[in-house]
Amino acid sequence: MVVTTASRPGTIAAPRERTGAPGVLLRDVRHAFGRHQALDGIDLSAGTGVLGLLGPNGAGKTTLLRALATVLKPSQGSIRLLGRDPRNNDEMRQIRRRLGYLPQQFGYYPNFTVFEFIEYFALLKEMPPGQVKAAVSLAIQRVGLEDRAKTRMKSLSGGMLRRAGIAQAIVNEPELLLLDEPTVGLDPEQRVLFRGLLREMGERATVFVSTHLVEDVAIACNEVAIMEAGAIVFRGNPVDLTDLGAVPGDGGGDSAIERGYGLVLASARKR
Amino acid sequence: MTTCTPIPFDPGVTEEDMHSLDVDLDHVWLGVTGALWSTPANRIERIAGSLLRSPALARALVTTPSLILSWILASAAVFVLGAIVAGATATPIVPLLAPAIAGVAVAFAYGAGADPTYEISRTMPTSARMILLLRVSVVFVTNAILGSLATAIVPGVADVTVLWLLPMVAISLLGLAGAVVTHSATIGGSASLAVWGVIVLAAQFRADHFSAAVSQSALQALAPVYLLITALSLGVTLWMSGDGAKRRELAGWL
Repeated sequence: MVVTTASRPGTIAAPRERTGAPGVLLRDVRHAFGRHQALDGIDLSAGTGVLGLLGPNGAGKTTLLRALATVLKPSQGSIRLLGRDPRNNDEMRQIRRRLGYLPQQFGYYPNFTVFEFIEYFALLKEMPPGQVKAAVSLAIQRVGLEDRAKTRMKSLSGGMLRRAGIAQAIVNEPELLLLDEPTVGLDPEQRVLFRGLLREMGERATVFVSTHLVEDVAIACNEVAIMEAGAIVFRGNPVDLTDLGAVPGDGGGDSAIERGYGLVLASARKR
Repeated sequence: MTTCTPIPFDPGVTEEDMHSLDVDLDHVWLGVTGALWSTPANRIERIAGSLLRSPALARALVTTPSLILSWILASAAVFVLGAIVAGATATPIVPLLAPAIAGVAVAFAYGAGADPTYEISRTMPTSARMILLLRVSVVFVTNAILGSLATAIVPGVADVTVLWLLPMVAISLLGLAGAVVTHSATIGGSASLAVWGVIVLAAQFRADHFSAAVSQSALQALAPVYLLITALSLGVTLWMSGDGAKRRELAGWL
């Protein structure tokens, strides 16, 4: 696996300092679906802050998030989450109480109201029953769905469904938050609000965000990792990536960070 | 001339008193909105919560896809229809229907393809296996009660009530195992229908009548097969629905 931490000497702004034990610690994690190697020797350590996962379709971002969400058991390698081993059932349960996860595609009970949908997951996350209603209210307010709290899920637009999905992920104030393409369907105003929420969550939690929107990473993330063919081919902060694409024409993007992203991918593919 | 002696202002409460009156208005507001937006749990959920001592499991139970009212009404209608046909033709339709209906209902109780929240539910600390077993048990019991009621009202076939429970258990668990292994409720339900169909067709070829599949002699003769299907399906379901550690350990031993 190739991990590029520093790209251009002298131009790297230090990532925000992380504190405490790593929220995520992966060692040589591999997983294959048939002949397709979805994860190919991932070594990764991440603490408090927001890490943006970029990469083309099929690069392994979703598979990596599903492994971190304890949904998928990798065929090889070790994972420690929040200082605990998910192979141990008791520790797995402790991890899951502190976990928030928004899958790329998530289902819902159409007749549930937004409040009931989020409340359902708050209960399944074993939150103290006395705290559930206030926590659900807070989550709804944080995603700006106050006026839809009593609306049935089947009546929501795509963007509102996504916001309800984000609300269920953050209802338990997770220490590890995993969001797979959370901004799909959000309007520009909601994306701006979401970035603020992301930064706020990143103050006290380890947050992984998979996205195709490079500008979201530039604005809301402390660090960025680029995946290609199941491996992490770049790790740094958004400024590193922007600096890589500082010269117009290289990489083929409209902005410096897009060009930087393109250059990293092109370089990884040559290898 | 009168002189006024200044009277020291006595606020009546000390600074400490004021601090003790501090109220977290945000918290109060969240409580108010929570009360306004939430919907009280229905009676069934409240009873389930008391019995299970878990509001999470109670909510997971009442959201079972194959326990929604329309599904139960449809199952009841099929059983009633079967009972009417059985009464008119003296054919044990209900025992023939019961395993198939229960098999499909159980396959659609939990899992990918049946439960829309399955992917997120798998990341919850509330045990997925516990939810699965709870839902399957209640779905099975509901179908067994419906089948028993339908059988009881048909004269002459009530004596086989207990005997058809065995194929119903086997076929239901087979459907469940199929759904869990393939992550598809449709495949699980189809598997249970297919196997039960083969058993019924075999009876038709052997005895020249479908009802031979649920005759006392056939049920007794096939009891070991049903028990084997039950045991294997249960084992596969428990193995596949766990959190993985034990599954890998077992795979290592094998």
